[in-house]
Amino acid sequence: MAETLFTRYTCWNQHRILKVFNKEAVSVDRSDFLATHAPLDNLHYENMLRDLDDKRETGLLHELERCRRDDQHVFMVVQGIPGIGKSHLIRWLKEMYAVGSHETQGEDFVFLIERSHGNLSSTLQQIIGAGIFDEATMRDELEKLRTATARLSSETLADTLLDQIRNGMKEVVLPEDQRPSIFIRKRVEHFLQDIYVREELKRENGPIDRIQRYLSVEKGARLAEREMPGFEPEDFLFSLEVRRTIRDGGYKEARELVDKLQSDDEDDKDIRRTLAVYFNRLLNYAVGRTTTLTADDLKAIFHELRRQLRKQGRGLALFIEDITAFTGIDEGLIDVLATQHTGEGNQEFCRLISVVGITDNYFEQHFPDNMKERVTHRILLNQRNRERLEAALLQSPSTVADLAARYLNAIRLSQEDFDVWVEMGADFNRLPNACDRCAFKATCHRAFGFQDINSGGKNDQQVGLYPFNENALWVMFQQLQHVSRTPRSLLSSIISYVLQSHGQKIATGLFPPPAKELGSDFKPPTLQKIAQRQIIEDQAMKDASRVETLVLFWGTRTVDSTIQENTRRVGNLSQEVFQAFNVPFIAGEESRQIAGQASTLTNSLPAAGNVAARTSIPGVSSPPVKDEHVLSSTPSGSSTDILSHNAMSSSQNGVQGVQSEVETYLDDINYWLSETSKLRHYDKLSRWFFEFLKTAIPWNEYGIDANQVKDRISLRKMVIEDQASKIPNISDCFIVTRSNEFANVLEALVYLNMMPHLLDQGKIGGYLSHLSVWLDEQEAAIVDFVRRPAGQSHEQRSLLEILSIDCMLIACMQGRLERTYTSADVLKVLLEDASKGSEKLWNTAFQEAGTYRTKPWHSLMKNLDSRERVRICRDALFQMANLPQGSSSRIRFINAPAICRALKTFNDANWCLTPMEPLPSSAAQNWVYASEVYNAFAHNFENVLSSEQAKLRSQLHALHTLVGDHEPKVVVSSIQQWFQQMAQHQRPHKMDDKRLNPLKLSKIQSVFEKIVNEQKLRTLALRLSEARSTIQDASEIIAYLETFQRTVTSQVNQLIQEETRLKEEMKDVVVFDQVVQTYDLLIAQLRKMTSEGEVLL
Amino acid sequence: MTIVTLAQSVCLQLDSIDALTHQKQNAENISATHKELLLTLRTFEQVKQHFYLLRTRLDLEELTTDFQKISATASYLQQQFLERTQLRQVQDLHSLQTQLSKSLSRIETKWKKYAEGQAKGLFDILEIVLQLPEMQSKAPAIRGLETRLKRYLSLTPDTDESLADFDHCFLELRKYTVQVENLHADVRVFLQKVHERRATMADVTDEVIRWCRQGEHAHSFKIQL
Repeated sequence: MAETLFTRYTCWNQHRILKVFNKEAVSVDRSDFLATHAPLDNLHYENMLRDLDDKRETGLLHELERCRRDDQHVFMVVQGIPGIGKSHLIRWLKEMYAVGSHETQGEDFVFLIERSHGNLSSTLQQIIGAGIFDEATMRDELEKLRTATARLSSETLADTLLDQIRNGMKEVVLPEDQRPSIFIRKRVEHFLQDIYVREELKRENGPIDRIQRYLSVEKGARLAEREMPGFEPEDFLFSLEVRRTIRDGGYKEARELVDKLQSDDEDDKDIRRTLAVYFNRLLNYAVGRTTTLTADDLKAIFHELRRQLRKQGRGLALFIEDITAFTGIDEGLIDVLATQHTGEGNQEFCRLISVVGITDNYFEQHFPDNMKERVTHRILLNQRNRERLEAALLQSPSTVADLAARYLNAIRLSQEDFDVWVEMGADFNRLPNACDRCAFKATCHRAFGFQDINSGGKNDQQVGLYPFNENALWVMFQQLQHVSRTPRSLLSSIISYVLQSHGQKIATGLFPPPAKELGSDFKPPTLQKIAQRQIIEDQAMKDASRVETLVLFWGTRTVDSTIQENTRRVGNLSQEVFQAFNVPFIAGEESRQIAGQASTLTNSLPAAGNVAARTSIPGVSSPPVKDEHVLSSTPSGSSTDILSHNAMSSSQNGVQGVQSEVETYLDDINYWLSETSKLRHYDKLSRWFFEFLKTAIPWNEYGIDANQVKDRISLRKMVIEDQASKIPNISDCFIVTRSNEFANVLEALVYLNMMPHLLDQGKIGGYLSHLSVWLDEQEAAIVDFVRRPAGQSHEQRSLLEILSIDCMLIACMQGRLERTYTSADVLKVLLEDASKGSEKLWNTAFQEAGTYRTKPWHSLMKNLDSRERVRICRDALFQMANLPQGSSSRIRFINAPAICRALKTFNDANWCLTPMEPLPSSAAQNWVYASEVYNAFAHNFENVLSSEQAKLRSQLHALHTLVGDHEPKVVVSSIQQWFQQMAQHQRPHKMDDKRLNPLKLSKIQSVFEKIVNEQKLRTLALRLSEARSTIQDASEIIAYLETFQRTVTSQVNQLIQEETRLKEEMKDVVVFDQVVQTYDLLIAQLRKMTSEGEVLL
Repeated sequence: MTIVTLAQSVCLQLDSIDALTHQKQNAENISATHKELLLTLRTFEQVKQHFYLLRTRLDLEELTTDFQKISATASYLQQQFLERTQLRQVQDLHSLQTQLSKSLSRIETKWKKYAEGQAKGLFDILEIVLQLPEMQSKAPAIRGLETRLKRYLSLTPDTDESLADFDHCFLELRKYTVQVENLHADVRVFLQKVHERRATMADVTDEVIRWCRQGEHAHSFKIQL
């Protein structure tokens, strides 16, 4: 076939992908299975009967066959993390063993128990349907299995399980150390009886639901691969609504236990774990009782089967994909598998060869300790790499490529191709190879590479890796996140996923998609040179993201343009690769460096493939490295990087250590920039970044003080995009968006912080330029964010403005302001108020207000000073107004213009107080206090002034009632006259002669009249403030006058009575004339007697 | 009412009350003066009554001077009163009363002296008279007159009737004493000594015996040891 243009070519059948890439090895068609089977050649044996030199899977098969020949009991455990290939190995062993057994005239009954639908019911159905049990001779056993299956399909399975767990509490005797605490034991029965608790445990995806799904085929959705049936501590974390329901209507004991289970105390977390473990210990009992098929029943059934087979002279070979398929009766199964056919009492049983797949978790936590010793062969498929377990067989790019190539070949061919091959003996030398029939083989293999899947065989089997290459497969495999690096994850999460999700895009010229869309379980790597992103965007334009994907996975993570064998390559990828995907073959970047621009970085990926690894750091004045890092790369991807650092001196080692650390940070930035991952070194990077912001922005000029900056430019309030989880309140934060420019900033900060002395002036200038450019764009937004109390706040005014207003109004309330004050005068007052000892004056004013001001006025003052807000606001204003000059704390430079401006603005608005929106709890303390004080004024000030005005109006009225239209002098004079009269008439009284000053009285009348007639809020407030002493005088004088009035009024009444009484008493007095007349009479007679006497004599 | 009105009102009221109080006090003083003046007048009436009743029998010349002084004092007090310089004259009037009382006492003293002088020896003679047997039947009347007369010795007659009664008693008793005064001296001595229970036989002189042999006189005397 003549080769046409190799572009947008699809060489596989899409419908074959699902069939071939089946997660369940046992579900794959036999021919496909054998065609894709990659031999496991590095098995790790433990606990073997004898030492096996052959670590290949064939060695293991030979061992099983030897045991069969030797009539030896085998209880083999294949252990490994999920997806590592246990099932694959077990199936391969079963297939091979069955062939061998068949060749030996069907000596053994070979039976594979699949994990199947992941439930016990299905497992039992497999056993029933396998024909292993003779209907005639093993009717009872079959009936038991059928009954159990039926029970598992019951509608009431969930409730039955819960009831049986509850019964288990009474009937299962656990050792003392396995029993829960008394607190749990006393309450757990009611806990399980409580209808609300039961509903919660039966909720979808709850523990009972999981167990039920595992047990019953009727439940539909199979259990997730990794999900173990049983209780987890988190199952007992109930929602608030459920807790409320239980509290309102549940059992008291249940409520107590539920409450305890919700606590975050360490002890209580332990209670959740304890309860989960306890229930799990009762689970086998519950499942057994639910199915009426206990572990003992299962044991009896299999014992009977082995007796029957023994009688037939046959052995039993059980290949069990996953032991957990027997959950509930697994202990019985293990007992069966461990029971030999030799020894007294067991000779009636046939030989049993069993190979059981077991996860690490099951083996560690559920496999009975006494049974572990009875395992005859234990094969481990894991290998620990970087603190995580991964498949031992996929430790190099070539092994990954080898496994991938088998599957890629399988999906390029049909089922029939392989069926024929199997029928012909499944000889790998004759395995159908799609590439052999492909017209683009040469171009394809040159561009994307190939893998010989039959190395060591008679014939080469070169299978092309298209549409991957070895590097892409390896990078994707290494970049797997959250899943183990296993054959299953390679096949499922990488090859199958990419082909299914994006394979069809090749034909439409849209492959590869943007890097972050390529995979679900793996993240893209990052560009080695951050600045090259711009180059890609400039050169590839609309295809920039595809080019980036291509170089990130298939290439060297750069767009370095190089010439190899007279061929230009970009990112070490030839034009054919670009062309195959209809991606423009960009010019890339010539290998030269631009001062201050992002430099060539080393690759942080594990050494593999054709990954370029340069160690030169731009601007770093490190000693020259003798040999350049030699990059040896071939199109097939079997390149190896060779570092020549043999002659590196110790100082070079030190520099390289720093460089290494720098590279780590830059990698981190790259990953973040490509939206592949979060910043792993976020704390360090953000600290540098925040420090940069704190020092680079002239905060004082914006009227923002250091405390505000400290609060807002912090980990709690400012976050770099995609790091939202780092901050407590996403709604109140400044998110620094992901951009090339910001990545440059981070890079600059890394260099400037990590190796400032190793950078030349040019580099430093370049980095500073990056910082300057980014800051120039962002400064306004950052300042706006810092200025505002909270991220979502719409407050436009600065804290300084709010505090200035607060403090001025506080001073007003305190009676410290006068109408004639200029802004400078007010500023002086505010500064005095912020000085030491001002609290005393405030307290005095507060006390006075309690006596002389209205209740609203006094209440507002009290409200203002709640939690010492007055002092805090004044301190904060003082602190904010201070412009530190150097490190001196003694010399103050007050930012008077800023405060004066704030006050003028407020004055111009006639003290209009628009309430501030509520601040979130995340707002800075000073903002919180300032806004609380401000809002206290906003909500109350006008009313307070009105109340005060009304009070003064009332007092003025009272004063007028008291003094009438009399001049104050006359009033005072009258009072003094009264006192004099009282003294003169020696009249006792209780009035204190205060010697009123008529001028004060005049002032009160005058000031009060102006206040009550004042319409403007600001002027009214100022009048009220400056009238502090007058109001005080007024209160005292009016009170005095009222007392005087009462006293005198009372006196008038008394005097009227007294006068009346006196007048009444005067009625009966002898009149004056009577006395005179009497005298006249006396004197006349005396005179007569005298004269008569004289005459007589 | 405003404070000014109230204060002024109180001041006026205080003045008014003060005036009323003053008036009341004056009234009380006038009343007291009047009361005392009435008492003085009453005393004066007594003096005047005695004066006019007895001025013909007693020497009251010196009282005229007293009366002049009292009159002058009364005039002075009246003048003081009229001038309201001393509305309360209780003390002064009381002094005036004392002076009048003294005048009255002097009249009474003079009367007593006068009466006693008139009755001097009368009552001794009357005792002898009453020894006489023929006077035994008239003894009650004599005693009655004697008592009434003695009463006037301590109680100055203040009416014409009482003075006439005095004179009447005196004159009646004188009538009885005349019989004795006409007897021999020995008889009078004898009778005197018998009355005194110290008569001895030596006193029984012839004149005495003779007198005894007249009428029933001898049976009236006993001899005792």
